Amino acid sequence: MEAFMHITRSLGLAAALAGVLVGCGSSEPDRPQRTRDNTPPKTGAPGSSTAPGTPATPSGGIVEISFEYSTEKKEWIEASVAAFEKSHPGIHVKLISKGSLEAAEAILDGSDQPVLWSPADSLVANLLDGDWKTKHDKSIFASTPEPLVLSPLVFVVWEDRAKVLVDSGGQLSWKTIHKAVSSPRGWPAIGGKPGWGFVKLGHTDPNRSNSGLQALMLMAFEHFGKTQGITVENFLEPGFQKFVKEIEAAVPHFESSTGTFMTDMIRFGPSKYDIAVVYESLAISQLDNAQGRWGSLHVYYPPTTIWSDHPVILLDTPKLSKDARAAATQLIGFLKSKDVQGTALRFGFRPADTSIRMKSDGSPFEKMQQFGVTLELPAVAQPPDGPVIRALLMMWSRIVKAK
Amino acid sequence: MVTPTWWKFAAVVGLVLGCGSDDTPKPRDKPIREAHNTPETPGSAKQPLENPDAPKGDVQISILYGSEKKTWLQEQITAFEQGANKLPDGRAIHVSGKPIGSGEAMAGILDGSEKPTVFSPASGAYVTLLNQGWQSKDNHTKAIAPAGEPLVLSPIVIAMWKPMAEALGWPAKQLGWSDILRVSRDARGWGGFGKPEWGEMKLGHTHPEYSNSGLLSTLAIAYAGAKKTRGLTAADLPKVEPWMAQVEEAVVHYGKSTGFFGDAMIERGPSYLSAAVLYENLVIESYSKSTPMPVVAVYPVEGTFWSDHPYSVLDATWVTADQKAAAGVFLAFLKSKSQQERAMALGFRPVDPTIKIGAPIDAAHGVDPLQPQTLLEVPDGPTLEALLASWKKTKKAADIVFVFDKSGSMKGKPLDEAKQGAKAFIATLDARDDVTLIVFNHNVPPPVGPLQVGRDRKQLDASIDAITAGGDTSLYDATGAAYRLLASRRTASSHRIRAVVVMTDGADTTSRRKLDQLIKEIGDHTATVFTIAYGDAAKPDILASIAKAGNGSFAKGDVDSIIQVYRDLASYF
Repeated sequence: MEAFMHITRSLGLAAALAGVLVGCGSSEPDRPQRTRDNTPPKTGAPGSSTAPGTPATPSGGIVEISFEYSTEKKEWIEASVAAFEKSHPGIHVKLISKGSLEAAEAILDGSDQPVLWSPADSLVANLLDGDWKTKHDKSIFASTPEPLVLSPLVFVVWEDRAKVLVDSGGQLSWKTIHKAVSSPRGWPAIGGKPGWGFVKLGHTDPNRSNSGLQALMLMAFEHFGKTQGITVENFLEPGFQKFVKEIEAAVPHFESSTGTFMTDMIRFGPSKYDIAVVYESLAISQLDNAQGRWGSLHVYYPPTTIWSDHPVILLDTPKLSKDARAAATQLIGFLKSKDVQGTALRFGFRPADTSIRMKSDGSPFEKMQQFGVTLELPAVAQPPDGPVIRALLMMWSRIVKAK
Repeated sequence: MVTPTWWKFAAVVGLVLGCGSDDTPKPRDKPIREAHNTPETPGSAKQPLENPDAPKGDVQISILYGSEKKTWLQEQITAFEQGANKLPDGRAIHVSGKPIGSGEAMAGILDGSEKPTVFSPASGAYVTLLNQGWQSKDNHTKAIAPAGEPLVLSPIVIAMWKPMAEALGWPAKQLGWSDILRVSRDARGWGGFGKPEWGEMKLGHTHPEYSNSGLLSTLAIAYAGAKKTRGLTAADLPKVEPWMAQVEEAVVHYGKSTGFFGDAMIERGPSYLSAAVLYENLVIESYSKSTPMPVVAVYPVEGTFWSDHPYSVLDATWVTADQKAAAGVFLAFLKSKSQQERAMALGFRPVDPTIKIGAPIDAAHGVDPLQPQTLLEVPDGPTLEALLASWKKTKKAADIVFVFDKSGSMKGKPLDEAKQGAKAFIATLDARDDVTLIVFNHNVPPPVGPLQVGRDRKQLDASIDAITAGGDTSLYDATGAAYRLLASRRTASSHRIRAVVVMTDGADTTSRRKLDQLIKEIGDHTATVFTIAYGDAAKPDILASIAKAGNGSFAKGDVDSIIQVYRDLASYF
């Protein structure tokens, strides 16, 4: 069906190409800093100095700010912003929930001008900033991006399939998956049941959804044995292109929304997808549902993962008045306060505030251990700059026929 | 009205999109299927969906939907209205629904006779087909139907009588198309599996040029023959054709309605069908009826397809912004937990992932909630075209005796239209099919034929053109003679679908046989008997009882519809 959907992403080819050729956008002042031991990025940018709960006192009544954010964290944001408005009666927050790549596109073409933006990850933030610099010759960021909550990209696999995959390859990795999907005989070729058919991998369309873009990025990182410093030249290697093409042949459909895609995995079970590549937070929210439908879904961490770090950024648009900046800064401070950070656990996110205990009572990270959820993470890749990401997307569009 | 050629296109594209679905209405309240002029088929399907009595200011929406989910959706519309659901601004919402075959619903939107707010076919394939059809006409530059969210789900399965499945090793062994083959290839039939009393393997699947479930059956058979789970190519097909021919030999007849096979299998028992390709919810539904033995769902080990019932709010000039908003409120209602739980009670799998799968989706109702375990990969368009060509070559050929009433009452336009219909029927048959003509009034003349459609088409058409009206009606004698003729050819046409197709415009007036004698005579099912009641003077009850006794189907037609009725009937062959 999606083959017939007309897909246009106006983060256009020409702009992207220009970006790649000119090589702009390579400075990195905006990237959240990460420590080498894979702990989450440090917080502590300007906004967080504001004490939570401080009432806004804008001159001349109520200040309205618009906050555009990615759909994955909708429930947490809605609950937190409702609490914020209650404690800050002088500020009204207009919430816009939108897929990150779609939002980036709308911001780039000027149709959306939120004061605050929080996409799912720094990949999309960098992508927009790169495209913005190509178009406007300056950064769109009016603050240092700060992570709100964190979630690594994971594989979720039906337990019986996972056992066969692990037995065949030792560790669940893109290499193991590549081997499994490469045989025309399907599951029996690696010791699975004939009734399972061929090996069906699922991830979203990288041009339309972050998790798909992250999945593609991780294929590259694993293939080149890197966690940073990936280059446009890497993507030109025929061996890498073949690797990607063969893996992608196992994807029956490239869905445009990670949420819908994960829901489909629960609805249709292993008949549609044996392996899905999604955010840990989304996996956590559906593991119980899977039990009630098809049996155990197991979470596996790829050898190199990547954060959905949900950066929150003030955007340099005409809407960013002095009052709006002050109000938005208060909101950021509120969202990063310890209490509010603690509530993110309930929604399956890892708090950006690393001082919060993850395995407290009732935390899904405690409860979901039985399904493979763990706090110990493998190597985490550093998101490259916009033009590098754009080059990878172009390569993907060229070699993987839209399905 | 759609033509068979059009349907072929529809079926192919539908499958390209990875969706399997049915296309035909499925009225559930009649003991004998009226395959044609039921209230859910065209002709009577043109009443406006809008409710003229809706109070001013209220928002009225209409939903045109695949009839497979009629019971559920009718209940939900009533519950929604009673729940006083409103738009955010306080205005009330009224919903009217119309169940119709998904393909016909699509055709109605395309020809302008249907203007619903929401289109909800059995399968997402029809949403894409509608868009393709829409954009190829009247310079439409934009799709009319968004993909839409699924409402309820049901996998496509091979429904089989439980003792038969057990004889093949179920449930310890997961069965597939190769098991159907094992029985049909065995000269002893079920006797080779210790059950000679069951006779041969009798399979029902719809016509692949009319229905997606038929095309996916054909595709699944081809995959089984090629011993592949994906990547079927046109180059595989010549090697696979002998296998396909062997499976097709088990087919009793084709058809365009999956629901027809579901009901007929339950009503007529294992002497009529050993197995049929159905939706899983129809297997569950069979447990609420009295059946000679339980039916179980076989999820072919080779893979299958889902029917996903998308809810597409049309992006059409006749749909207002208010109606779109109202349709969104109704969708939220349908997706809510209690509505979804009710769908599960009726045998559908709920789309709400938080609902645990439980009764009646369980072994006690013949189904396995942990199946299907894989879906078949859909090959590209050219491969599917090649597959249909292979099916044409390997499908079970038919030996049809055509019983045509030329009594005096047919004079004029009725006869002219019936002749057109008869010729259209023959034109739709395969070149390998045989047709024998018995054109009767009070006399039952010697049969003309058998004539092969490919070779003797001119002679067949000329014989039909030469018919003139006059005389009385010996319906029972003509039907009995046709049946005996096929019985006498039993050995010669053992690998053919043997069928009598009877058309009459009135009651029997001059037969020597009585009705009960005829019914007894055709009860041994050497051939299948299909009947058409033509015009107001025909006796539908009698013709329906003949079709029932003859394991066939009955249809009503008039001067305006007889050509289509004949065409539809051709989908059985």
